[in-house]
Amino acid sequence: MSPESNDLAALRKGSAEMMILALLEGRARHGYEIAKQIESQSGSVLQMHVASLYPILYRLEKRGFIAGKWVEKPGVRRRRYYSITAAGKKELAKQRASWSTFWQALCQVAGLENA
Amino acid sequence: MPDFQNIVRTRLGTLHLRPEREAEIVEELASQLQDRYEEAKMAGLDPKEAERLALKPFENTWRQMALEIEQADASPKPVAEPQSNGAWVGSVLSDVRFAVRQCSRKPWLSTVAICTLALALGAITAIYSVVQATLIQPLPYPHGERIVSLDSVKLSSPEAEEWSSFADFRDLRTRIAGLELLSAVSPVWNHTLLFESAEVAEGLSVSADFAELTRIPMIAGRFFSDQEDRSGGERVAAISESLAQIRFGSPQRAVGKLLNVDGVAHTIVGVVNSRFQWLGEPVAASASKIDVWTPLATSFLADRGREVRWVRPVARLREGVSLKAASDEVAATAMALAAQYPASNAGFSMRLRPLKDAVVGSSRTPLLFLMAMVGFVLLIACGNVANLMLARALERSREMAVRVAMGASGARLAQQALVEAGLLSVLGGFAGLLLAAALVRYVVPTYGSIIPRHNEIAIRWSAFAFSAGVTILSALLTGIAPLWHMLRTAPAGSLRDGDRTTTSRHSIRDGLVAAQLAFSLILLTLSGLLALSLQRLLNVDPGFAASEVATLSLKLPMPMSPELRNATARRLQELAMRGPGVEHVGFASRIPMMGQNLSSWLWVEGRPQTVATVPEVEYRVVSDNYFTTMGIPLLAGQLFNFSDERRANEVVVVNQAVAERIFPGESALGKRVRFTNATSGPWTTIIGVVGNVRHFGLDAAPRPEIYRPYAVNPLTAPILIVRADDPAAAIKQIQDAIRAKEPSIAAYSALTMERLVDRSALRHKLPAVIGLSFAGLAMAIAAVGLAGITMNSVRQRRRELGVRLALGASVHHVVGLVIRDHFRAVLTGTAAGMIASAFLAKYMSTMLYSTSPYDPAVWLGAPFLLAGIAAAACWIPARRTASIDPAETLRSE
Repeated sequence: MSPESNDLAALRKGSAEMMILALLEGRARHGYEIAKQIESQSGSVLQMHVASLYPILYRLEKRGFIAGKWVEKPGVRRRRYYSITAAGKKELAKQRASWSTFWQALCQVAGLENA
Repeated sequence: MPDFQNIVRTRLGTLHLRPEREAEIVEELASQLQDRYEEAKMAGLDPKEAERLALKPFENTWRQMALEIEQADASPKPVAEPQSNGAWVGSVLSDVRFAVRQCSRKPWLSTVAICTLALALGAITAIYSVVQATLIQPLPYPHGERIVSLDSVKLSSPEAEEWSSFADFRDLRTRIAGLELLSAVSPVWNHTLLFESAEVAEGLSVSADFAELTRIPMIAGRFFSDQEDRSGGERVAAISESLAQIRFGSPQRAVGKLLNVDGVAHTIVGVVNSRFQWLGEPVAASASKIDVWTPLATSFLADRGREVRWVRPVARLREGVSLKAASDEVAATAMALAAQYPASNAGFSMRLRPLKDAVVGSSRTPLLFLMAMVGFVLLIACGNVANLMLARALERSREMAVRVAMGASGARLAQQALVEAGLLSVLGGFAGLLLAAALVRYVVPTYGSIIPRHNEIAIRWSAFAFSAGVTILSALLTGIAPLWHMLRTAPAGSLRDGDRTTTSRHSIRDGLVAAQLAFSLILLTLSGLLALSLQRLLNVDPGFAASEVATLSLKLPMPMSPELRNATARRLQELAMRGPGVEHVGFASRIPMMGQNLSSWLWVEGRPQTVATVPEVEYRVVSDNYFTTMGIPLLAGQLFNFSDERRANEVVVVNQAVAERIFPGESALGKRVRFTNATSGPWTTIIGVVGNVRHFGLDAAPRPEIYRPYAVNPLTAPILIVRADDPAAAIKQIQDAIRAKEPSIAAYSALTMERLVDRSALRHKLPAVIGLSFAGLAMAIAAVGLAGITMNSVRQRRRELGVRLALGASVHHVVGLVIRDHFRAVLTGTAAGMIASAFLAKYMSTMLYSTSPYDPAVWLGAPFLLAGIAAAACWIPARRTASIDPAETLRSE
């Protein structure tokens, strides 16, 4: 793999991480819900491949940005819900800042319209 | 519904994770599939179709996902996360690895830093071990902090050590309520123990309460009781473990056996554990080991009058009684005794002081002085290591700038700097600990005799903890300098500027150099004073020909009549005269520098004297040729001789101090005097005046001394003195000859007078020798540091200096520029060092012999020496500017 493609993979992974953290900012969600939310909120432009979703969730959990917890409700199958941690909130703020810097730079350089 | 868990498990294969974690992941993925399956069915698909749709996104990605899950599980935690301990440890470990790489990249720099720290930490740990044993550790007796010593004070000469009489001790015991277990101790310098041949042993006579006061540890039997501690009681003794082992085979076997002590059979009631040591006077400072313990009341001195002062009372403050309250009570009791027994006690008082103070005595100042010195050495070492680290940090400033620009936090960089400094300190500390052990091994045997409680000195855990504490502190100190620089580095500036100098790094490094020089100067000045004092002390004339004289202690068998003792002395004299190269042989009761003395009152005929005003003189019994043998000059009158036996009681020889102080403005010759008692006994006439002798050490002014002829009191324990070409060899042969021909006479402690004189100077030698080595060490460290930074600044200013040279400046001028740059630091350091030394020197006056703490030779010499060394340390590397090629510099610019 060339270094460039590595960087692009990192970029994609970075954006996915930020999206997941942002989604969890409001409330705890389970994996299937996260995937559905990304799809619906992006107007089906972005699709979270479920096969990629879980490794990302596990990595975020391992790094302490999110915390998973099994929740059992009467009459419903038990599910694992993820919520954002304090460290996750910090990480989200950091990623938002660097993405917005990146975005502004991209806008200026490539003459994009600012969203 | 399909069994999704089973499907996931089979397709995912085995994950290399904890089984519980794996089960969780399987369950969660299965749950996701189930959701999709149920959604599809709700949309109206048949089960087969719904299952296919649920599994569709996973097609061909199972293996990849398994791998990514495994990787995710192994991903590291973020470093700056305070709640995650493991991550912190991980980052420190990676810093340690980094530090090791950094250190091994510059092995010389690291070695210098580690050695510097090792020397300083080793010194500080060793000295601390001594201080801990001597000054800090509580006395090894129950409630040691409450044990006090009761010292008599003669009001007309308060500096003299005064003992108490047995009768006074008994009165104190019944009259003082604030003290408990009031006991008394008296030394018996040389008991003769008779086995198959005579043997000499040191003894202590103590009252029975002494056992409870010190909780004396018995290895067999018991200590003697109150009933045994009275006059006329059955003769009992306790003996040391080593004596029991050597003479009876085992401590248990010794108990109940008879021991012949000075011709009297004593029953051994118990054996004292070897680890026990009495630290109080009168044996506190002497290295002697006590072998025999006898009840105080059975001593032949116990029934003498109150004017015979021979015991040292010691007691414990009662719980809740202050030292002040007890002191007042003791002083009041002494006053009452003086009123009640004016003939013996008028003019005397008593004072109370903690036994620990008595034990430590005059060693406190030199030890604290040494402690302060090693502290300075450590500060210098830390400053030096910090400087080395700073130099390294400067070299790496680009790297640091990149890291700061990339978002590395100050805390993260600080951690790395501290880890690096810590690594050096730990290695330095460990090497220092080994060095400390070696130092203690050297100091204890060499200087043990002047260090109280020296047998308790060892590198202990407390010393180790102290060393570790100092090491950590030094890591922090050495970490600060580079850190300061790092955090002040403006990343953009460093990135642009590469390796050009900034003023901040100059001020830090100059500050460190100035501090090092200041501390070096303090060490140099203070130890210079000590060295000068030692030199003056060693030049003092002891009053006798030390280099040609040797001595041998003797103990005649008891009981022996005076005539027989006299005859034995003559026989021994003849025997000694046959020794190789022996010119003269004499005997004396006490000789200089041995630490033993005996004093007496001197009543002068026709003078109105009272106990309170009568002068006290040192009392010696010597043979007629003692003065010739020792090389003590006769100043006036004549000496006595052996043939004068009948007149022996009528004549006395005095020293110059007696003549000058007691008979000022008149001749002492022909004056008649009495000893001990003013009203009884024969008058004796002063027939000669001899030169003064420094009996108590080179640093102690001669006291008034009187010499009485041997025939007055033929000694049971005479000290034999010989004068010979090779005194050491002669005395050894004489000792062997006496042992062979006179087996009943104990002959021990063969010593040359030179050695005794040296021993008396040890107290001055120890701080001077250690102080000077520390000063040398400190100066070397500081000079290396100064040379290092000069070298660095030459390298850093290469371009600038090259330009100057190219524009026509002379090498001379440029070298001057470099030196001037650092000489401000040298001057600042020198000035600060002098001010600090001036402040500290006044505390040293008690350690100096006939030397002012502000001796001009030292105060001029030390700064000049330091400035000279500093100038050399600057100049040598600054000479490198001469090698700069201006043309090349301009090209590179």
